[in-house]
Amino acid sequence: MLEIYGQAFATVLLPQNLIAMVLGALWGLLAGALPGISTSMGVVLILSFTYTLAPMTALVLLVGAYLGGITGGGITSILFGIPGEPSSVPTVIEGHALAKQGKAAAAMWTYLLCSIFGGLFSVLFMIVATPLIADFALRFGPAEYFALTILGLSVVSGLSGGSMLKGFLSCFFGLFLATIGTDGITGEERFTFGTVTLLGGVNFVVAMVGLLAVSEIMMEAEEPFKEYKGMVEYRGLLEELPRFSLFRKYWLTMIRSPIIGTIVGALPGAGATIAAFLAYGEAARTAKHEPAKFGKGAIEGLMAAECANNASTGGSMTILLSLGIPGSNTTAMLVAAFMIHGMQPGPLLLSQRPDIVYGIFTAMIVINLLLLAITGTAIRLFLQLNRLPYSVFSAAILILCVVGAFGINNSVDDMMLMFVFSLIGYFMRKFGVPVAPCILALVLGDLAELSLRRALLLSGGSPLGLVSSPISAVLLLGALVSIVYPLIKKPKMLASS
Amino acid sequence: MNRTLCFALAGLLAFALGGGPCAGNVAAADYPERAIEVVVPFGAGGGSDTAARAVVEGMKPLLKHGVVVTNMPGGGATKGMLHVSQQPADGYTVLAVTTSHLIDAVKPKTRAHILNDFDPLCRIQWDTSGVIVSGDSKFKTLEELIDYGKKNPKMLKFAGTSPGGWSEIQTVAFFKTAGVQVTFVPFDSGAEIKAAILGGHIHGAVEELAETLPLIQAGKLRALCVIMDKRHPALPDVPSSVECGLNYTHGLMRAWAVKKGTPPERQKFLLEVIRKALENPTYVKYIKENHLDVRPGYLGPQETRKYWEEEIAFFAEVLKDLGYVK
Amino acid sequence: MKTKGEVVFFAVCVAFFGFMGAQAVALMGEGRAGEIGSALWPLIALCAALGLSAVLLFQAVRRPAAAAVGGEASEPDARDEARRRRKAVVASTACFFLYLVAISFLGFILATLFFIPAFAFALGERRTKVLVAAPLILTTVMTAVFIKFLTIPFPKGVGVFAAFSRLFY
Repeated sequence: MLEIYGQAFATVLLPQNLIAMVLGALWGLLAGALPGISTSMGVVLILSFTYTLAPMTALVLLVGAYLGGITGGGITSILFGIPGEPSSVPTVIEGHALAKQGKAAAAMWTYLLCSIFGGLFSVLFMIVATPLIADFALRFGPAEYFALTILGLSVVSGLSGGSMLKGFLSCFFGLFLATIGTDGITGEERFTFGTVTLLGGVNFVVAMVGLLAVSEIMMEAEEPFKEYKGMVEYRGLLEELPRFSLFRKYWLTMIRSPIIGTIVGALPGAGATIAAFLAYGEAARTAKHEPAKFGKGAIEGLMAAECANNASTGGSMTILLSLGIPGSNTTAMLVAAFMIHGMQPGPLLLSQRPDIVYGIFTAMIVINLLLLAITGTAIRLFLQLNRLPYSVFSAAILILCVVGAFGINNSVDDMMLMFVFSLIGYFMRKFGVPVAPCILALVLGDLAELSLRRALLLSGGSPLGLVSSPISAVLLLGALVSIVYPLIKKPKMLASS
Repeated sequence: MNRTLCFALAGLLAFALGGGPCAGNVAAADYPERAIEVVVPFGAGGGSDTAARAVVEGMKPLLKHGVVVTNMPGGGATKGMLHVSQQPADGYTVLAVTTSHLIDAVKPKTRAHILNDFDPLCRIQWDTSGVIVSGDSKFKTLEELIDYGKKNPKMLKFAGTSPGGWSEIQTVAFFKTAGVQVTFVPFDSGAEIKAAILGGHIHGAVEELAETLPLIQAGKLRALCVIMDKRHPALPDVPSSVECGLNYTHGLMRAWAVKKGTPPERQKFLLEVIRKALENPTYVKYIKENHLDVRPGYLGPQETRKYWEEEIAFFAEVLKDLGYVK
Repeated sequence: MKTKGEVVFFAVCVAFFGFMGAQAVALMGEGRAGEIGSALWPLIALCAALGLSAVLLFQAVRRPAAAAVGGEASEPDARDEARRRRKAVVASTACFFLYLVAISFLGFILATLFFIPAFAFALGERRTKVLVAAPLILTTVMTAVFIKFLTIPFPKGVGVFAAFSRLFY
């Protein structure tokens, strides 16, 4: 075993492969950080370069872009409050709040270290337990997906801030939004009012950009005019680097989030975004130290989300390399890359091309370390962006919001939809209705409903089918406890503050 | 997922870096005087997108001002179709048509009609599907599956992607030809379906073969039958549907069309360019590797229209049975 | 002041969810054998949201008696300040909306060029240097990155503006 990995390391560290990884990681970071271009689009765009390359070089280039993309999403999220990637939405909620408190540098370092930790954790997990992860992921049928999403939704009370009533209102609004568009089971149009725009549903990123980023700018327009955003102070690396005690304090989150990320990343119906939200929710639910901070700059939430979304890469690659099933859009692009070089990712790959499989495992380790070095160097540079005059800075953010909303489907209607959501978000904030539960519900709602209905189709309409497997029974029980427990413990939170 | 996507994207990138064709020159006289836009009504990276980009790659050397692919996903494939129907009929906007548009034509709520609002240029591909079950499934042959289905109506559960769309139609219509009532369970993507079959959550699926071949060859999945008039070269041991006594050979179709009223000489020009692109070695390699050449895909404009009319009539019948159309 | 806004906000919520609920009822009966159909899940969400917003509306209506005292005491200065702030919000939001509309007609590049100074001005920026330099620099950067490099097919505008846009992409 050691010999195989020694050989793999030797291959991966060849100069051409190393260069490919650095370039891939750089490109991925850029694609991830820019709204309007997703990680999968980033990978698509460089696929064309890989033709003339050796297979190993081509693959590490693309894997570099994949890991870089997931990591890069956090940069724009923290600095501008726009998610570079859907999977970094929780990072926007907590990380940007921290940045506004003048802790941008600390937030960036925490995000980076957690991202890399999550990434490395999942690679090691995957090296040790590929068959285990794949088998476990395959045991998730519709009933298990449903239970998983309900568990995810059950943390609403933890994200509600002051008023649980308003939190639940926001959550149900999100669940409703998720039902707009063509029904995934019957094909019936719901709440589209005859428009084509809504046929595909409310795109999650469009809603998100409006609810979080634009409404934030609108809120800030109310503040007196200011010169600088006041979050540029950088006191030097040693000052800003998070202390080890921070990670010890949140050790549970640091262990749990990458595990959630790896497993959820391996589920073809879920992926990095849902992984990030589930881990974030779990952190909010069990927060011991400062639960009230969630939604207002909880570093624990940032840590959980970034650990999990980076860890999803390991899970996604596991299911791709062992079964040939892409666990996410981006890994679907990697299938194309394999085929360019005459390989079919699937169960036979490990026996046919063990060098490639082990090479990718080791490359993922190296790429994570490269990402740490590259992003770490650049953090100071990123923070300089905040030196722009505030008025111009927010205009730039709005333009990026427009690009982000437009770029998903190349649709002008989506831009208008985003504007509607910014108004909704503005009034929600104004009247103390938290935005986070709505976004959580929008992310999970569709999967929850469709999985429930699929499960019922499979069980012939019997609700017993939902709890017949141990996985779904345990998950649903956990959800029940997490909904009921806060109601018993703090009934006074029901009242509006 | 296949390799020509990448060839196509190579071009796209070259386009991006090189600044694209400078279409601002108004003085040029002949058609085309600027880039031709191919609207793919699906997201980047999907089967239709890949196919379109593969053809576009072959068209590029033949067009001075180039050709670009625009992805316009949304509303099944409606949004892209509607967009093209709203552009001027000048031959600068081409729609990549798939079977979904034909199905759309049957539905009462259709917003643009593929037969009435468009002129077909040609059919480019005719894909092949198979009946797929898990490798450790108790069904070893199509006969056993059909037997079970006949004895237990509605107990046979098959997965697919688009409710009321191609996936459901081919599943239900295939089994109806065999005299079986099947329960169709819609999922969001092919990846989810494969995972559900492998995990034993569902009996199987009727799906296009190219993407499932690696799992079939590894024995994780089993093909019981290929839906075609002859055997599939990559799966010589699997009988065809006609061999199994089922008169059912429908497959997923990909074609190109322009808005109705586009000048005939421009249609002819486009058709010529596309035909040449289909002979491009890159494209030939792509369809070979994805087994899209198993049966001939190309049909001329008249034949394509006739084929569309027949398919639409067939879909109308199936959708009526399913209750989507009253 | 704030309570009045709250009453209106939750009243709008009640109306919205009520209306959508009625829409959902119309979906009843769609579905496949053995599953719960298109309508049930949205109905659950909408009814719950309707109930919650009704409760919150009720709470907001009942509160003013206590809160009004604080509202009355506000200084004229503070009221002026509040009006000024609201004006900034409305102006900047209007700018943003006009920008979104203008993109379709002027094309992305020109619309962005005009939007940046207008928005900065609405926010209270008065330095001429910033108002002139920033739009040029930012628009160039955005065009280079998103149109040239990433080839996102932004609207090109209509007529003469389309011709202008085609010079760049």
